[in-house]
Amino acid sequence: MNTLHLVNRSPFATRILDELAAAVCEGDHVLLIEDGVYAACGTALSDFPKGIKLWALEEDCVSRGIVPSEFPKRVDMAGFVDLTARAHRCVSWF
Amino acid sequence: MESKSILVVVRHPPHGSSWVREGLETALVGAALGQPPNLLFSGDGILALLAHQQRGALGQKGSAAMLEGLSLYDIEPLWYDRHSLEARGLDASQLIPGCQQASTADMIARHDVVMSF
Repeated sequence: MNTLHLVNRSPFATRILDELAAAVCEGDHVLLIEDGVYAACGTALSDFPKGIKLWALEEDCVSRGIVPSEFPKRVDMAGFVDLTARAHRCVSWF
Repeated sequence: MESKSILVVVRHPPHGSSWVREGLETALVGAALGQPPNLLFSGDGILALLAHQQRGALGQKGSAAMLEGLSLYDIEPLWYDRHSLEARGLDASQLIPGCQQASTADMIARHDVVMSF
């Protein structure tokens, strides 16, 4: 009964990751899309709760020249669809 | 068919955009169709629950009057995220009547469908 959380805003322009950190449950997936992929490099996610699976959308990373560090893992559009299909619910953070 | 439980989450402040009104209108549509959703105010969304709100500078209506009418449509209580309230230096006594505290993580996990505004 997990949730897929979609983040499409830069964590440097908003407090969106703090807000999300308080709203996730263990076993949830977080997928960074659009400007959300700027959270994929550096230390933006280092304090994020453990037990959450982190993903970054490949196409948005490539278009922005972002190379994710070890976490989050990259996923392409087909993987995005797959994550959506397997989640019990989706929540957008914008 | 068994109906799905719906949560409407309001995360944006009133006045600056129309997100709060959009969220409330969505909740009202659910109620009109016989399926009142739970309504949660989280992040800056809790600022919409502050009592004594007025019309905006240009006379636009705001959302306060709509909030007061929600109980007529069985949309009650108005849930708010306690951490969001405290982080903004606010106290529950400053909110309009009919609000009840909740945890955003718990609320999301308890519903089938979550709509974010």
